Amino acid sequence: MQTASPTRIAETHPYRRTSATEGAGVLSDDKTEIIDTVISVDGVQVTAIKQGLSLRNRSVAASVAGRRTIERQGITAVKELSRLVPNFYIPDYGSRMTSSIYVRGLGARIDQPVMGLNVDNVPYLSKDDYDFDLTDIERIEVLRGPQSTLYGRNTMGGVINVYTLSPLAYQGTRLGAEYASGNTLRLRASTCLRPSEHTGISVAARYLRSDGLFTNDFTGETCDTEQSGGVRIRLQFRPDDRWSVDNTFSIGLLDQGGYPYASVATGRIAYNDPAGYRRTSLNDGLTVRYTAERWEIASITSYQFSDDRMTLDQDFLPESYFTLTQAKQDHAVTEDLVLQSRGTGRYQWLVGAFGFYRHRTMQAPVLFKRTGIERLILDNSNTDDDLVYSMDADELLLSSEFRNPVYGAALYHESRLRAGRWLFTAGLRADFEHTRLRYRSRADMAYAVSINGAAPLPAEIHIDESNRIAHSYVEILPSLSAAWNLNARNNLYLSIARGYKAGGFNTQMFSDILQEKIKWQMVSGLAYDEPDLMSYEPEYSWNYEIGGHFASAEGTLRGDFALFWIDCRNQQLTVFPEGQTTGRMMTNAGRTWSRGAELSLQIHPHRSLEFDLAYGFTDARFRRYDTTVEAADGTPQRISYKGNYLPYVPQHTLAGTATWSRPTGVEWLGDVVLQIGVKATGPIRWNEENTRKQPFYALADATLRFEHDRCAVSLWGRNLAGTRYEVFYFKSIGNEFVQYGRPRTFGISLDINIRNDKKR
Amino acid sequence: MKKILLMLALAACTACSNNEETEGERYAARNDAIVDGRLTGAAMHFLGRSTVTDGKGAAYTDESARFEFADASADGNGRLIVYMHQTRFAAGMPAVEMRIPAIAYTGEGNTVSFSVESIVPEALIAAAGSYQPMERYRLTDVEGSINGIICRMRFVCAGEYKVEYEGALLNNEMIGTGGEE
Repeated sequence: MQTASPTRIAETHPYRRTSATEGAGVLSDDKTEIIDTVISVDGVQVTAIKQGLSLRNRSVAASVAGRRTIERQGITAVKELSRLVPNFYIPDYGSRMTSSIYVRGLGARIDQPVMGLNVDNVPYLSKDDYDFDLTDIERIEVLRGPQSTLYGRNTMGGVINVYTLSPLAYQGTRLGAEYASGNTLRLRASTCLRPSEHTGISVAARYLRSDGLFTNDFTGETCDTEQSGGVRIRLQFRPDDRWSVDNTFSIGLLDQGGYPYASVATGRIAYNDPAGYRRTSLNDGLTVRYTAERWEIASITSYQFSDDRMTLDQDFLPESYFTLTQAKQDHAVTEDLVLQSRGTGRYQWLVGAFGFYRHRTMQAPVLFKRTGIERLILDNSNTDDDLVYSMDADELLLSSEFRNPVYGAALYHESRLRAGRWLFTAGLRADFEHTRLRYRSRADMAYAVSINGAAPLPAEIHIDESNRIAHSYVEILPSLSAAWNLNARNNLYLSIARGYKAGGFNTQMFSDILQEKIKWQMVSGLAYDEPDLMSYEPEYSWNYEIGGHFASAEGTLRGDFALFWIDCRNQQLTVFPEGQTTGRMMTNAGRTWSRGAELSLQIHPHRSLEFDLAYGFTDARFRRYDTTVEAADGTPQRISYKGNYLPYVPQHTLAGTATWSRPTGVEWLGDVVLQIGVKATGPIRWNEENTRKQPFYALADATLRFEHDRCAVSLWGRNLAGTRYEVFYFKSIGNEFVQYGRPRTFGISLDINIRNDKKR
Repeated sequence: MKKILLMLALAACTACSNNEETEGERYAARNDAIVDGRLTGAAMHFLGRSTVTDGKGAAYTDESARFEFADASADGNGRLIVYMHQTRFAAGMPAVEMRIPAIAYTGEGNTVSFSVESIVPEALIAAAGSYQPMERYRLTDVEGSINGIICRMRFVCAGEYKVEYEGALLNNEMIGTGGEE
């Protein structure tokens, strides 16, 4: 919530070299890097509606990156924020559908995310849409710790807020071009216009083309190719000081290969069936604000459409076992109404109402091919001579179709009370959600069976079953915090908050169930007794945190630290049911705890020298996790993973950067900036058994950049030492696969910025 | 008198001790299908617990195992057929309709008992639409008894799986379709 009027306010950032008051340029290109969000300037619609302008005054661990940091670090997607944020890890594997975020030990490979993503206050409901190229970004905030009180579902680990350039604050034309390893070409173009005092328009376009970095040895071609593009149009209208209307429309197209998974046994990527991901997305967000003397109301309405299709060679082998296609169409609408107080009084409040509806249709056929039929079906069936099965078909299709409407509503409130140096905050959210799944599973199969050596008897199996499941959830999500402000730059805080991740349905289990039904039909003709495990419940966490923000008076040192303890219950884990080693499913099997620490530092010993450090430590383990595994002799065995580390969670994250800059003395070259960085992660355990891990590894980066008011040229290199490391591991039909991280890459980029701001 | 009634009550409780009434099921109070040690021709359906222990000691338990006994007497020789409905020897195994073809039995009063050293059971194969002998499931050391409303049976399947079954007699009106040909 705002604590100051929207009129012109002096920027209080300690690193400004120009005058303390600034015109409409917020993160201007005048070489001042505004890292903090203490920005409230006339004409700028600073869209931090819920949590206010200054995160450093809030009881939250937050990392903020301004435009210059984003450009210097070469951050083009949310995945790359790992370079700046402690305990925040998004492994880059698979395709752009994969946005598995792990933060402070919380994370998920599939289904519901643990962090929310908002772009200009518009929430993205599906994490499958999180990964897209960022253009004209004004600021990115990563808030760690449960944000469920203000943001609701699936923000158990935090929230990522992305804010784009406001055409009311910046007018001009920006062009960008980059060429990098893998024959990668990136193009950006945008223009921001202010045709009148009250109106701003911006149009931005992007294009990416890449041949990829990883070769599929079976085809002899790279498999992680990509071609993508998008357009964003933003309209802002401020008829007076009270009304503000902001609409952002964006469309994105993506066609990529992806899934460069290498066999652990051979070290090679080699699979014969096509794999790729295509996506069309469309988003529109409308924000309307009215600011009165003592209060303000904002309405944020959005419509989101996504149509994607993932194709996988599911066995990732040169043989034709089986393939998976998952095609999904989402329509979603959200509405968020926020009413909050304004002014400088000791007590401030915020109330809100949120509602959403998402309708998803999905088709997920699994196609068994000849080798899969022979080795996975017939070989498993023909164990004795008294029953011998045979099939002539080259393919067997297991078809699954789903329709999943979800809707929800929430009421939330937050109060803030300032008492001397203390700031107390209490919030509460009541969240209701209803989800329904209608499914249809189909399979048609012709086979023959020879009984006791007799002539084969032909038979057919026809399965066509439909059903529906529905669940409703009501969640109460409180939060409490107390902050003690030593002064404007230094504070300590204590916070307790509850987070939750929505429940869902085991859609990935349906093909396994269909296979079991076929097996039963082949043997005895009996109906398979489906386990009542089609859905899983929400996951909950309690987050206890002590932290603080500090800065020296001269501005040479600033930082943040946090210590946290997270108790996660009803954890959503993928397990095998008791007594079985097939039919993997998501269920609420576990309880985990996660404890750790974070430290972020920015050190400016000299005006031309800057050091940035972000370190995170997480010790995340199972308190309870029982499942069934296949013992060495093939029998099912019930075991417990209590005390084991959570898989896919890095124990340490470290990002350090040293930046040296000074004027070249040549006007058209501007400043020279040399940046050297290291990014280290690990160890990461790849399975619940903790039998395989990626050890701690470090990647070295460097950038040489010439910055001028109107243009910048960068030469950059990443993973300069050519470190080979794993970013993902999994098993498929008993075979182990990994995806390796990006190898050594280089690139050159050119950015042109032609401003035509007018003093208003 | 009171002591006799109390003992009868305890006996009844013992007979039902492992057969808690499941939802929708109703157990019989007496067994009219056995008279003077002979089956009268009415089929008997039992619901109970089946425990399968494999050669390595791992156990799989089915708490809703259904066994059915039918009279197969011919030429005055007492024989019965045992139907094991939806039998599974391991959790991951598909359920199979199995039956043990005619086994000789002896009886007295409301009790019959039977045993056989080795026998090849039959499984209902969907493609054939009929029961077929399955050597792979050969049963050995088969022995069992029906004592009033309680049935107990044990055998070894495929030389590896030791099966023990105990069930209680169901009321006839609660019986669904069986696995008869």
